Amino acid sequence: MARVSSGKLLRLGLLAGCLWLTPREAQAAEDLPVLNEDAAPESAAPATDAPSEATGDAAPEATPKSCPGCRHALGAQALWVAGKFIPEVTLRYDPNRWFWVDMELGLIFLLDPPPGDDRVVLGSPLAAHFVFVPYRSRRVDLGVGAGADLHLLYGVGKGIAEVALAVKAIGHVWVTPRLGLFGSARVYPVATDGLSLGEKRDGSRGLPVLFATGVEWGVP
Amino acid sequence: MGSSVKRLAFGALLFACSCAPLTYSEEGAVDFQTYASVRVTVTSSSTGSDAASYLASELAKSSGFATVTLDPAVTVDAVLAVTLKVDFSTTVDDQGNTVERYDATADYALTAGASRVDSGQATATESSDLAAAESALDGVVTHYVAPYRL
Repeated sequence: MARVSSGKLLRLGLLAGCLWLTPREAQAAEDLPVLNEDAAPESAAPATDAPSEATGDAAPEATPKSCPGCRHALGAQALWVAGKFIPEVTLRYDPNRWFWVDMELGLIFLLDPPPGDDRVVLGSPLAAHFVFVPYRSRRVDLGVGAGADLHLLYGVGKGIAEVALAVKAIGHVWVTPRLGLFGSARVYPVATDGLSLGEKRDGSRGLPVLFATGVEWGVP
Repeated sequence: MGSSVKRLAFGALLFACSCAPLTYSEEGAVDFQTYASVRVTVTSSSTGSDAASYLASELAKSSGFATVTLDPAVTVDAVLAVTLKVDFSTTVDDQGNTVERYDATADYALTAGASRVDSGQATATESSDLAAAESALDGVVTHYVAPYRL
């Protein structure tokens, strides 16, 4: 009969204890994900959203956005026109890395009416431009676009409108992730007879480039 | 923000302050100095309203004619004769509903004595007889809008 020392017994006991305990620990470790899966729909979303809202950056676990720099935006701008004040509301639909669509709607105020003319509001400019965006960064977007500028002159007469093909360059600087400043310059290569960009009321020539500057609120 | 971006933004702002002239203009369909007064006559198939009165009223408001009258006894420089025709038709939309449609056509001619000075046609489509007639007449008024340069 083999003799077993107390030290060996102690080691055997520890080994048996480990063999007994190990499956239970492993089982417990396997049980945790099951518990987490049950809780996942309630707890996972806040855990990932909270740092995103606090820092403005995407959480590492979140699905990467297809266009991190894209922002839909609502803004206000003024067109720099001599003798007129043209404030506008702007809307940017920005679905893609390479392009966005700008829409503009405003009012045309006449600041220096001709003698005998008491008109103040001439009408509304309405525009839609498709903008190609070759450069985007976290702070700056640069694009070139084309579209239609429609000038609805209901203040002049019923049913009077002028239309132009607009070609423009536009740049945005994002002061914060949501607040941006932008400026654009556009020309009218083709326009109806009653719309003359770069022509003064007396017929003399001026700068045929229409500038606009504005501020906007972006929704990443 | 880097200094180059600041400089660029400042330059863009300065440049943007260069206000461009933008002029809206209309020369006038006819010489309103020569044809300052006009008599309006309308032959209409529309049953909605007094088309002649409506046209005269709208012309008096925004056309280049200094005087607009319906009175045949008044001496005028020109006569604006309009033939207004309104056609009714129905169509069926995608939902299978019947949609009423009125197509109005206003053929107009401005004559001075025996000579025709100007002529044209204005059309409109609306969902009621009255709206279609008035929209077509509005087209005539727009054609004779007073000259402007704003």
